[in-house]
Amino acid sequence: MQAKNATSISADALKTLDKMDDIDKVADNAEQFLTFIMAGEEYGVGILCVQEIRGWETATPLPNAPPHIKGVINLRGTIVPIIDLRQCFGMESIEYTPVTVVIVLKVNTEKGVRVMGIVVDAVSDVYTLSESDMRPAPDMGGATNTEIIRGLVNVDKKMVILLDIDKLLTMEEIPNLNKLAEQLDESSN
Amino acid sequence: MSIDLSQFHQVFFEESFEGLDIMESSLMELDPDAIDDETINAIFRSAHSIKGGSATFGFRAIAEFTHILETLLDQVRAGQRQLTGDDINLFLRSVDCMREMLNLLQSGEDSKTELSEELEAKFTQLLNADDEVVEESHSPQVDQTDIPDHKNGAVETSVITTNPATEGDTGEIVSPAKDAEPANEQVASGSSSQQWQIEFLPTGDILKTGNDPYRILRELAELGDIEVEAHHKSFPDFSTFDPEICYLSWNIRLTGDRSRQQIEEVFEWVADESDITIQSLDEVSAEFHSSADTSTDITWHIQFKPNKDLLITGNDPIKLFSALESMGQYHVHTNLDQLPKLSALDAEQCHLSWDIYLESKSADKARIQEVFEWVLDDADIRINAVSGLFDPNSITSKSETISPSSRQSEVINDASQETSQGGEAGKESSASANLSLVASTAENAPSDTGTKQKPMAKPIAQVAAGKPATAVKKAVANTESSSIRVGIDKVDNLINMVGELVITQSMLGQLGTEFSLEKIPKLLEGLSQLEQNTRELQESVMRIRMLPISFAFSRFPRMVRDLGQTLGKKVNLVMQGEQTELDKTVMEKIGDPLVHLVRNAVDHGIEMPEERSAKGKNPCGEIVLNAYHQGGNVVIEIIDDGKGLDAEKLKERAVEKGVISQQDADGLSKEQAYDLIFQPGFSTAKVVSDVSGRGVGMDVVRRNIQALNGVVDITSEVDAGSTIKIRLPLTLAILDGQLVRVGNSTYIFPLTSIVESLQGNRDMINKLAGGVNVLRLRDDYVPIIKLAETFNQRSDCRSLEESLLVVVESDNGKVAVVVDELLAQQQVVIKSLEQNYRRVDGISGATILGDGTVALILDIPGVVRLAEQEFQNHNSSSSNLFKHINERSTLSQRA
Repeated sequence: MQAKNATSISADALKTLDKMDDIDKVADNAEQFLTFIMAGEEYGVGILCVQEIRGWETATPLPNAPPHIKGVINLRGTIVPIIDLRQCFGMESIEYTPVTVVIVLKVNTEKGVRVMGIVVDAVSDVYTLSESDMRPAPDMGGATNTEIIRGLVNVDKKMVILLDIDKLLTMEEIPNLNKLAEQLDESSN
Repeated sequence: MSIDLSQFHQVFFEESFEGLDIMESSLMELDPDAIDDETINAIFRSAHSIKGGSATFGFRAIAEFTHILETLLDQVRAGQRQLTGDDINLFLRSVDCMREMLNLLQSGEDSKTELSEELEAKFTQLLNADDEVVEESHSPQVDQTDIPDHKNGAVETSVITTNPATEGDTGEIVSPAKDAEPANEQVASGSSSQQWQIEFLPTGDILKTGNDPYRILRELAELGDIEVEAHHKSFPDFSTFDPEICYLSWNIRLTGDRSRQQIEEVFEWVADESDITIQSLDEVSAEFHSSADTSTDITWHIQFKPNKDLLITGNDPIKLFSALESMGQYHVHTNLDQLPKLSALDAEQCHLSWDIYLESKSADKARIQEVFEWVLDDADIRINAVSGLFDPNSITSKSETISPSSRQSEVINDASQETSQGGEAGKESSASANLSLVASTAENAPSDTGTKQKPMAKPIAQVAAGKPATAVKKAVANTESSSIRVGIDKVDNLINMVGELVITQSMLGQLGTEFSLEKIPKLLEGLSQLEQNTRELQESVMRIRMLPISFAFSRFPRMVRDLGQTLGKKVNLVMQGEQTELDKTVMEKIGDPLVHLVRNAVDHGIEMPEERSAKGKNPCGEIVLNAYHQGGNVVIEIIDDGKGLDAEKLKERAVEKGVISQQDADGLSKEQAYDLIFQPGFSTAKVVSDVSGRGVGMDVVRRNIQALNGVVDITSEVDAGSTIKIRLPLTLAILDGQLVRVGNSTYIFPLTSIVESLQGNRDMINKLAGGVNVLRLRDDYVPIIKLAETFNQRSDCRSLEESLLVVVESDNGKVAVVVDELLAQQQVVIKSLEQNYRRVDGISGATILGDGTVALILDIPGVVRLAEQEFQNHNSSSSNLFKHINERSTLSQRA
């Protein structure tokens, strides 16, 4: 099971490597984003925040933790909390399988760099985007907190939601982003 | 190439802070009535090291400040100055001030503070006043030299009067305004200035002690124009020559407006190892010159202008000079024009150039060139024969360049040559160009005793002059990193362990490559050896982090003394068990809570002397700081013999402040009442003083100690005093743990907190009204906490009667925790949860088990709090039930 998992990850890595060739060609102000799929929507995070991508392994649950905190794992001697981004966004959680992916992110906080893992459905792609490609998230009233959205981008006629991971993971109260994607879809159409 | 001095800054700061600590503790020991030589020497030494270090690194503000302090101390040392209690206070304040200055420097800021200026002015004043008293006597440093008596008074005053002014001068030297220099020099050459004749006869061992005469000469050169004459008469045969012995002695003539003290300072480090005679006599120089004039030798004028890299190529100008010495007498005129700012000064670069006048019968150009053979490529050298002594006309005509150096330097050369010639002619009367305007204000000071009243205004001028120089230091990055000093034996031990580990590893490795079933016993043996190695290694590493608790205690004598003075109380501090070792991290975190507690003991605990006398106690109160090991813990006790805590008053106060209700207050035991002082917003002080009483503090103390997995405990007796007992784990990094299973999770109890574990039994478990289960443990009743419920985890649903109970010690007594299974006991490495997540109630950290999974370490007091909260949520009525049960059990315990 682990082996299968590993192959899927290395496939992802290869894909990433392919993309790496493009890096040299892009302009200096462009940034690369790793995108992942959750409930059919594509989300992106700055690739420099990403420390590694691993398969799901059982985490040690923390007492009295909110449901989206799945627990902590041992990442080469460091205790790393794992957050289910689906639950974090108020979506229906799905059962974890060996192909469920954990993206380990480095988050900048006032106290220094923190390492966290987010559970997502699948890793998708790496895009090189420049600031000008990004569109600000439309204001949707107080219902949704758009602070954590860095921008929206159209890639191959698909919408990618770029997340500001530093804001997202340091926020005390994780906002309920239920149906965020739907709303975004509606407003962008 | 240059050495980045900033890499040594950290070391300097550390050493300086250590020095300040020594100064502080020595000052505390110092009894004004009976001054102990050893103590005052210790203080002096520390001040001196700080001064030396700060001057080396260019921290002028500190160097200047320490210098004045040192002068005062020196007088105390020599018995010329009576030390009063006020003086000691002043010195203590200056220690604080220096600490602050160093802190500022460390953060890359300007180290001048208001306090430092104020203190500096005070010291100068003290010195001044003092001077009038000791005017007729010898200053201690002057003692080492023979000076004609009539000079003495003048010298004494020059110490004070010229100091501030000349400080300004050095500021001038480092200032970039150099353009007008040649002109200045011409002007200055007309004015009269002080001349010093210095005989410097080092003992042979001077080089072995790390002193470099060249450095001293260089420093002298910074004070003004110097002429150096080296004597080599004691030079032995080559066969008996020892390169580590200094056979040379020097005659130095310094032209510059400098006080004797400034010159003496240059020789300070070598004063014990050499004969130094400093004379300020015009006759001497006149004599010297008349004798020189009568010489019929041919005089060679050698212009030696080395490239900056000269020193890096391993050449030493001083060696060249001593080589010249073999040919005859020579005078060296050092040109300082190229000297950069102090801050930009690179010790490895040669910024000087020299004009050498060699009087010799035997020398010819070839021989002189031979001397300079090695530096030809690195320097611009011109050798001219001068028919008469210092004849400026003949020089340019016979000039011959032997260096491959470029033309442009020739122009510079000529210019500098001319100015130096001009200077040469009027040498006796010329001041260095650098000393132009500011110097002239203090020009007459050394010889005028009447000026000594006025320098009070000067420190300010000096400050103003010092500012631009110190501002440059802002670039110093704040690279604060903590470090510890470890005894070399500990490190050696560690290396041995690692050696053993490597051997074991190779043995196991070999075993692995050719493994067969027969070798299993050998494998097991190897593994057990590995286990032993690992444990020993771990212990050794842990020992490195252990420091004696005196590090935390050392600040208290000073603090108690100051506090006592502020509050008008007499307090005697006794410290015991200072050698008790404690983990460095724990030590750092326990410092502040201890300060709070000691401060409270002085402020609230100890009564005023009259009050104490009235109570029939010794008017001098006593505070005992005690530390000792107990099991896996370190216990720190703060015992005072003051008025103690009044439980009734505490309750009253708590009700008043709204911390608890009247009903609750009535039900509180003495111990619980004491516990109230740890509540936020609680203070018993009637008056809020600047010392304590604001109601912040004790709650922070307890929180900090709890964060260290420690426990605070108070016992007190009215009018007899209080004892505060802090129990701390030895180390934060490793813990002896009992692994337990609850449902699917593994948790770890700190082994030290476990009292006992037992199988539940129907007879032992009772259900109290309100739904709390209690365990009857012999004569105690202990509340039961179901860990699974508290943590909202699933567990094996067994009835309470069948479950396993772990009885643990908590803040307020014992509690029994229900677990599903007891697993192994093992040492666990504590990993922080907060680093990547946040603090979790009831959990003090996490660890990684042998199989790589994460297990959580329980924070027993936290678990109890959680259980209480949960219980409160279910039954809002009986809030303090846990405490009540515990209280009763403690009471029954005592009974």
